[in-house]
Amino acid sequence: MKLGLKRRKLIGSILFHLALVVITVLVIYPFVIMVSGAFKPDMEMNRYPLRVIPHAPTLEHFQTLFENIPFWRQFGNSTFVSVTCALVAMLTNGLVAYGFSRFQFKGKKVLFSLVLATMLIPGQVYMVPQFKMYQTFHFFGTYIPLIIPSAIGAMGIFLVHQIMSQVPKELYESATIDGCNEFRIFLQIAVPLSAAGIGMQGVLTFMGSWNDFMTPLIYLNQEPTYTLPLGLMRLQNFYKISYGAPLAGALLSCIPVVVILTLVGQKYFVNGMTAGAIKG
Amino acid sequence: MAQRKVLPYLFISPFFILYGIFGLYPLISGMVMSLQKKEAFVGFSNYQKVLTDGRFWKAIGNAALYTCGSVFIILPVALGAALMLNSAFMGKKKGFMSTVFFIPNVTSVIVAGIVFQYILKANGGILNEILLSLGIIQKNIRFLNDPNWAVVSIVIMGTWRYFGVNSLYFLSGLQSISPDLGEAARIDGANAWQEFWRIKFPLLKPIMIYVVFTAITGSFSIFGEVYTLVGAGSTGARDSMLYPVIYLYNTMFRDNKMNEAATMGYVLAVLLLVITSIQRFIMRDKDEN
Repeated sequence: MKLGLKRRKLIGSILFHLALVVITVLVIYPFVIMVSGAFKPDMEMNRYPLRVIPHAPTLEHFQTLFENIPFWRQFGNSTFVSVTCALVAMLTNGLVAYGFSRFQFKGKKVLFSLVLATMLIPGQVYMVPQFKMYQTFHFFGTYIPLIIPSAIGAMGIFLVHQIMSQVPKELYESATIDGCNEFRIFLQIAVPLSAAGIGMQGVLTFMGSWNDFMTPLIYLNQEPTYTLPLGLMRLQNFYKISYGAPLAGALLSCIPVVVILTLVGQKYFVNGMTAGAIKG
Repeated sequence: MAQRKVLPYLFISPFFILYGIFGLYPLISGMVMSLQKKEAFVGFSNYQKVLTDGRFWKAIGNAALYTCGSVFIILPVALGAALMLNSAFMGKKKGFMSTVFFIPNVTSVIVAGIVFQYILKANGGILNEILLSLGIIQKNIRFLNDPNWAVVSIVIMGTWRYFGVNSLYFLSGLQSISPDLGEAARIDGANAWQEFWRIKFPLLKPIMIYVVFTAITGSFSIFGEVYTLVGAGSTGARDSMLYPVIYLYNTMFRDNKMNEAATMGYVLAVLLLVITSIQRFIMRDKDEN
């Protein structure tokens, strides 16, 4: 009986790990193709599409990439926009969440519900009128339309609010008695104590902005101002036959995401990701 | 003291000021635009035009089909992955594996588009090569150009991109279920299957409502995936790759019909609100009533 149970457990474990390997391979495979394709000569790519490690690895695709689009310029543009978005999101989410979690005031419940209600409005409805508005403001072709949305993300406010609400009220009170003004309390107590949540929001905003495709597509019209996804799309449209250069660009554009995932740590990141789901 | 009364509003004002300008104002001006043509009031004629436009409904149909794929294929895969992550066999690999599942979601859509084009293309595409060499098919499948395969291609890419993040949502739900419940059921003679359907599945409902909601709204908003997969401007053979936001985008920028596009935005938003309300009604807690 005992042995039978042990054996069943072993079989279960083997089946489980087999399934896990299969899923992992399926998830990773597109990335393998990307890395492999970035270094594979065109000829091999057409003749042996399934071969992972190229016979004669080459850097020609990177050369093509740098010759045909201002890659590093666009990399820089993407970095600038994404970092700005992250900072803006952290600042506004922090301030608004602080206002809602620290104070009792008239209309608080209604106003907070209003913030959350904006999440229910499908984004498509804003597309055209927002475009027209940015055009009238002469913001078309600038990064402003790319940055504004990160300031009014209700999800971020909600998440930071959840975390800031856990800061003990006594801390605020003793700081007030010590004569700190509210802005200093915000900066020196609320922000450090909810740094994990605010930081997470910054990281998520950075990634969302780094990968955003539609907003830049609508608002940027000159190649030197393009963000990376747009630059890569143009490259892909130019080279319908060869995938090498786009894959090389794709590979390089993944670097910041990989660095962040490694730096921020998987557990921390994954937990931050799911924190909003429970109440959402 | 008066200052203390104003202070809270000061802190929350950034959201309301910015949303007022960049959210609420477009919401209203969009409504106005949808009732106009070249600045002149035309009543509901734009709505009539959109609602009788066959291509618009084709786009809605495609989105509905993809939504079914999301809800009935991507989400079950995600739930399966979450059960695996939560399983005792997973042990210390849990954090690492959830990151692996999650990576496709934080990969740029253009990266996914380029790679999946290479995987799915008809001539020398990797999936075709694999299926051919395994003898499953005799002739290349034109995944991206055959209208019958178009939605399948999008679901394949969508599964890769979105199962991971959804499995994390499910995982957070599974983790909040006390293991005692399962143990009690086991003692009462329930097998693993019954334990899942009778205990875990019902308890996952709050998460399920949220996840299905995002799956519906996400599927109807799909843009970048299709745009990069079939190439800029293409809507596929017989409009099989025509999705609502793509149609809206084309109407706005290619045909320069701003008022019609604004109308489309409104129709889509209302349609989505109706669909998600129905979803929440169906999935509501029936015991409470």
